[in-house]
Formats: sequence, structure tokens, C-alpha cells
Amino acid sequence: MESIKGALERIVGPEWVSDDPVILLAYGRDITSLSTAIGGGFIPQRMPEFVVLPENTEQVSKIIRLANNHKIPIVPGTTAANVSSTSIPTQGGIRIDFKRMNKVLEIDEVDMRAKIQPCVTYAMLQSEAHKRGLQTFITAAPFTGTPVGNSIFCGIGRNQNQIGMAFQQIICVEMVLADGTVVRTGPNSDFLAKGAYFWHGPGPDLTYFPMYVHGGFGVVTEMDWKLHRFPEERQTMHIFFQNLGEVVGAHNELARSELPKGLAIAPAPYYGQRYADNWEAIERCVRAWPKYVLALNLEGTKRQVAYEKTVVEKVIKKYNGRLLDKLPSEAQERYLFTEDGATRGDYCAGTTCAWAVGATRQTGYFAIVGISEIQEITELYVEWSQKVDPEYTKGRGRWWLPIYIYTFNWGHCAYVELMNFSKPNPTKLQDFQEHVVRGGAAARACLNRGAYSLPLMVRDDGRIGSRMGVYYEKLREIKEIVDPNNILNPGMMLP
Amino acid sequence: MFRLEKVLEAFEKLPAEDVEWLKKTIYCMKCGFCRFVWAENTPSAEYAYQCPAGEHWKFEPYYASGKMEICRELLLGNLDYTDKVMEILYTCTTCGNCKENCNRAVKASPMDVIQEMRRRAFAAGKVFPSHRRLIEGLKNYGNPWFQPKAAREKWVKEMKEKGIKNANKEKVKVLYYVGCTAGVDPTMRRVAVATSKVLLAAGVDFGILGSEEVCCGSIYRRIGDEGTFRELAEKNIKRFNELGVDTIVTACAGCARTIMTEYPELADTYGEIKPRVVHVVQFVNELIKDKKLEIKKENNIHVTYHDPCHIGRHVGIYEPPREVINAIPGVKLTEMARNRDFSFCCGAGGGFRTQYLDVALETAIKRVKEAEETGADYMISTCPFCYQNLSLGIQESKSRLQFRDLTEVLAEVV
Repeated sequence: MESIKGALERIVGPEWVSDDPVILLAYGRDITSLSTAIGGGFIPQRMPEFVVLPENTEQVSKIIRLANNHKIPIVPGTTAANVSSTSIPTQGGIRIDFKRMNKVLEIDEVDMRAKIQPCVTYAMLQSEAHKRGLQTFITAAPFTGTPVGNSIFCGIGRNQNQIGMAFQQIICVEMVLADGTVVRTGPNSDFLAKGAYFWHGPGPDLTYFPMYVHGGFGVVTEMDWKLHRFPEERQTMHIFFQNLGEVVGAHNELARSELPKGLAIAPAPYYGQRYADNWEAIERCVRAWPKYVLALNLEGTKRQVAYEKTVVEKVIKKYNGRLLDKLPSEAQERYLFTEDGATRGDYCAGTTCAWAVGATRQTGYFAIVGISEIQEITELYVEWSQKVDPEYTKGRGRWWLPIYIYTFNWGHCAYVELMNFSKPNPTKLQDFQEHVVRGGAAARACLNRGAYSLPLMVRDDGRIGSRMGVYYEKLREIKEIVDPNNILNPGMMLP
Repeated sequence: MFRLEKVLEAFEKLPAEDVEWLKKTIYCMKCGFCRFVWAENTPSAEYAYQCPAGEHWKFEPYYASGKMEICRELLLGNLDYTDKVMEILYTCTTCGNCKENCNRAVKASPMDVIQEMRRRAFAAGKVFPSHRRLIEGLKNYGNPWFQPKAAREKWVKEMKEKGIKNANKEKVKVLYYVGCTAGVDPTMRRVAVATSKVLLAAGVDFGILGSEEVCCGSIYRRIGDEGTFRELAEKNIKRFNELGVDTIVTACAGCARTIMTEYPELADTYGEIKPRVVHVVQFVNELIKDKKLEIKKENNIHVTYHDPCHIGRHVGIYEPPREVINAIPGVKLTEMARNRDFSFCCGAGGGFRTQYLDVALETAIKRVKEAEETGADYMISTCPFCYQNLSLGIQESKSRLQFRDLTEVLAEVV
């Protein structure tokens, strides 16, 4: 009988398959396994048994069919700029490395969309979009992330108040199911309509089938992705507030105005950390900066942006905000640099700086909340942090990053990233997670086995599952139907 | 299997120096900056990538962040210098893109970690036969090219120009440090000849060390032979200071990087280099600006400039060569998609070409294709090693491009 390796080699060619332990070693870890500071990380390193680099969808289909026949797990991954452990195998198996599928296949300037392969990065797509007077959704993740991977995971970004999150940029996908079947969704589901621009296929749309399950329902091999017009004018504004009620008040009013393209609240020290590259600089930022920063960006014609700015300024005044025209000097250079890169890299670099300099993400929690709940959730988190983590109140080092809020969908909801940088204590974190959910956050993150969530969100004892009731059970049933052998990234979505 | 607890244990046991290297491997957060052109500088989807080795092999360990995994396991003692590990450590041109981009955010300096692990591999007696030959070349001939010492003077005799002094015997203001490649490789002597012509045209009082010139040691450091590198550095630093020259000029990017940035790291042991050290493009640029070097002719050619990694990312010399090119009437310069600090490596550096000639050539061909897209007729650079590899790339890809060292272009118009 032909070995699995031999069969894989027959599909993709021998040079694109490896079971060498030294090669596999580099596929077993991301930031969650051991993060930037010494005390970090809680996802152990786990290696696949094979790594394979397919060149096209047909090869992916054959690989998955082979895996299904032999009940071998499949773990897909793109550029490895992964911060969420979703490409770290839980049970060995075959890691599909998509690096050879890295083409922007088509850009339709009229319909403003791109057809991309899994390993096209945001920077790659943006560089092509720019040439055509267009731009893509800008992720807050590193620019080396991919629209395919980022949208399947979560994907938040700078313009999401008006254009939505990463997954809302998807028009349709091509995916390979567990039995190797290739399914095309949306307009591409009908070969006669191929290339048309409509939102869904016949009946319930399957486009979002692979979303948030990290390859658990199907492996995406192509994606049609929205592009947007590159604005004539773009301005980013940073406004400082000393009071939580005021920053939330200003935020909510601006969210309801539906003017800013992007809108976010962060504790100012966190924001400062994005632009500081060493501890001393961070400390200076913390001392110099007020408590909260409201960041927003305006885009459009020059006239439009000028008008919107006057509206924003009125709101700032009403809520005692201070428009930042000059950052503390130590942050200035970095700020300008990031601002300059805003059209392509955006604050992805800033994010990465923050992660790198600001020690590690010990753990964290993503939640989607209503706009009206932002203040409540923030207070809840601060209260909890102070309760379980005395270091938090010291305002030093790794305990500086308690919360980050992005607003999206025209101010209808907010993505809240709660981060705890103290030593992880699973019991306390579990309590906190439930505390926050009771406080009003949606349970979306419960499906997310991402970096910060696994010990919190999906537990083998089914604690979370039982809380989610029927929804969770239906997902499990769907998984059993579409992937009866549980080969597609097993353990990633459902325990 | 790696676990956090093991790292923490290791921190207790490891020497302080090892802890510092280990920390760097841990700082690597898999952001992937190391393998790409920086976000806002990405010229296109095609030219978004930067790592020559990664782009050939494509498996994770061939990129810097993957190599950091291997390096960490080596430091923890979980891996030995097996053939595969050696392959991974040495499939790197040390072009410095990973370090440059990493240091914009994470500051894990992957190239330095790779370099350190090469040093340890070498110390453990693991050396590729091809690299051992480089060492044999030095022992037997005083250069890695297996050419007799006397070959270092051959180009002077062929040149038949008067005015090039013997710095060993005569007091000169400027030492032209030729370097092994331009000095002894028969195909690269043209760089030494052109450089001398330009210096002579400017009336520079300069000399060379000829057969007494000692290799800068760059290649030995790249392949991990730190002992040989230091030995050569010590000799050179001592000699440079004895000469009493004001300035040391070199037309070799590798020598420039080594003498300008790596010898000073050894100052505590071997002392500082007293003379100013510059690459010839910097020196010539100054001469032109000071009106000491007159450009006498037009040259109606269309060129593109390839930034050598050694004086580009490693030293930061980006504008002087462009200023020199633009100072020549008639020359039209068109930049490649990836230029300056995002220039794509030619594939020759770090002992890579010696061990992986086919991949080095493949990399050169990629760069030649990028150069062709500018519409230029000439590809210009300032490094004999890039010259060798890119010329081969032009030849193998049957490109219409012609390769020239910038000094050659200059020598025709001064």
C-alpha cells in the first residue's frame, strides 16, 4: 500500500511534501505558544505529521480526499503570520501550507472586487488595488496577514465602522469540503452567472460556511473580496479624554452620526505603547498621556472630510476632549511613520510593536457588544481586573492593556478586545468570561478557539456548550454531516 | 517537544550570552515581517516577497521566522547540527531584510541569530566542504579564490597607468583597499581598474597594498568561521593604522560593510581604525560635489541601480550611488520595483552561492527580470560579488541587459 507521504508526493510533487521533523518544527508554534515575554503563552507547541504545499484547488481537493479516506486531520494555514493558534494542529495530521497559492487572480475595477488565493497578503492586495485607485479593507493584524485567513478568523480594521469587518468584505468563496468536493458559493455557484456581482447563491448562502471555524467546515481555496474607492482625502484624528463617561459619550455620538470610517477607544497608555519601542518610552507615554484616546478616521472628498471634521470637533468640545495635534516627542516619529503607512500597513505595525514591546498576550477575550454597553463592559472589566489582579492597578508594564474597543457596522455594535497580561489563572479567567457575558457581551467568541480563547471559550467539559444550548448542538450536527470523520482542523471549533 | 517550562528551566541553566540569544528567538512572534517588503513599500503582489531562500524552498524553516524555531531548539539543546539543520542555517544569503523589517517592530534580529548559530555550528566542527575550500584558499593563497598573492597586482600591470602608488612603500593620503574579488578574480579586475582610473582622474593621492593586502574576512564571518575573521580583522586594523592614511576607500560592498561596521565591533580588542573608511561611491560622490572630479562626457544610456545588501541594508548607503549616476549627463536612471532598503538580494551573499549555486543563480535571474521591467539597458551596481552573480543571471536568462559596475560607467566619462 502506498504510504501517505508517497500519495501526497504524487499529488503535488516530491519537493512540496515534507515529513522531516526539522521542517515540521517550524509549523508547531505561533505567538500563543510562547509569546514575546518570558512568562507568556499557553498553547503548547504541536507539530503536524506532514506539510504539503499545493499549487491549485485541484491538488487541495485531492489532498483532502486522501486525508478523508485515511481519517487524517487537515490543518490549513497561509502566511504563518498567525496569532491565534488556529493553524497549530491539535492532532498532528497534514498541514496544508498555501504559500504556492499566492496570486491575485483578478481585479475587477468596475465592480471593485478582487479574486484572490489564500496566501495573498493584505499588503499584496493593497499594492495592486492602489494601482487602480482602489483600496482594500485594512486589517489591524500584521500586514502580512491574509484576507482569507483574517476574515475566517475575525479580522477587525480601521474602516470597519462603515465597511464592516473582514468577513463582510467577502463576496463569495471557493472551498473544498471534507470529502474533497469543491464548492463555489454566491455568484460563482452558477457557472452561467460567473463573474456577476450578487450577494448569494440560490437558497441560504454558503459563503460564510467556513467563517469562524478555521477550516472546520471547509478549506477556502479562492475568495472574491470587495475593494473600495481610494479616497481623495483621509484624516486620522486622535482625541484624548480623562473620563470614561466622556470618551464613551463622544464615541457613541460619533458612532450614531455614521460619519467616521473607523472609530475606536483605547486606554491611552496602550495607544502610546503602539508608538513606543521600549519600556522607557512607554513609561514616558503613560506619564504624559491622558487616560483614554478616541481614534477615528475620516475619508472621502476634501470637502466632505472638511465638513465631517467640523462635526467631530463640535462633539469633542461637548465632551471635553482634547484633539491631539502633537504626540509626545518620543512617540512622534513612530506615529508619523505609522500614519504614513496607514493606507497599506495601517496600524498593523503598531499592533505588532505593542505585542512585541508590551510583553505578551497572556490571555484575552473578544466580545461583541452593543454600543450602549461599552461603558458598562469597560467598568466591569476594570473592576474585575482590579479584583483578581492587584498588579493591574499599578499601571505598569504588562498590565497596561486592559481593553480595546472597535466600533463597526455604522455604530451598531462594537468589538471589544479585553486583554489580561497577568499570569493566567484559568479558573479566574473562566469566571471573568462568564462575568463579561452576563454583563452583556455576545457569545460570539465562544466559537473562537483563537489564541486567547481556548481555555476560556471551549472546554472539554462542555460548560460553554451547554450554555449555548441548541445553537451549539446544531453546529455539532452540521459538523458531523459535512465532516463525518472529523478531519477538518479537528478540535479547533468544537471539542 | 517545546514547552514554556523548559525554556524557563533553560534560562536558569544557560550562560548569560545564550539567554540573550534565546530571548531573541522567543521574541519572534511569527508576524512574518521578515519575509516581505514593508507594507507601504510593497510595489506589487509579485514583488511583495523578500527572502531569497524562503521564496525558493517555501517551507517555513527556510524563512527567518522558521529558522528562529530551529535556532531556539539548538540553543535549548533539543536539536543537533544535523545535515538538515545545517541546510536550514546556511540557506540564507544574510541579505539583512529580515533584520531590517523585524527591527522596525519586534527587534528579534533574526539574521544575527542565524549568524550566531552558524558560528556555533562551525565551532562544533560542522562545515560544508564548499565552505572548507574557502578556508583552504585563504590558508594557501591568502584569498578565497585560490589565486596566488601576486595576482593582486596583476591588474595594475595590465592597466599600465602611472600614479597608482604602493602604499607599503610610499606615504599616501588614501588607501584603495581592493578586496579579494576585484583583486584576484580575472573577470572582476575591471572593477579595480575602473576604480583606479576614476581616482586618478580626480587627482587623488592613493595607493594600494598589492600582494600584501589581507582579506577583510567577510566571507569567513558569514560562514561562521569567527576565528579566521578575527585573525584577519586584527591584521587589517593594525596595518590600516600603521599606514598613516587619512581615508580608506574600497569598491567592494562586502569589504566596506565588514570594515565599516564589523571591525568597529572589535575595537575593544583590536583597537579602533583611525582612518575614515568609505565605499568608493561615497568618496566619488564627495569628489563630484566638491568639483574635484569632472564629468567630461555625456553617456546616453538607460540604467537601473541594484542596491547591494552589504552597503545597502547593512551600512545604509542608498543615495550616494544614485547621486553619482544622476551626475552623469545623459544617463537615465529608472528604479526597480524593490529598491533601497527593500532591494531584493542578488543571491550571492553569506556563503550561499558557494553552497547553493543553483538557487543563487535562480535568485539572480529573478532580480534580472525585475531589472528588465524598468526598460533599462544596463544594470548597475557597486559590488563585485553582485557583479558576478547578476552577470551570470543575465547570461543564463539570455537577458538583453548588460551589467556594469558604477565605477566602470564613471571611468568612461571622467
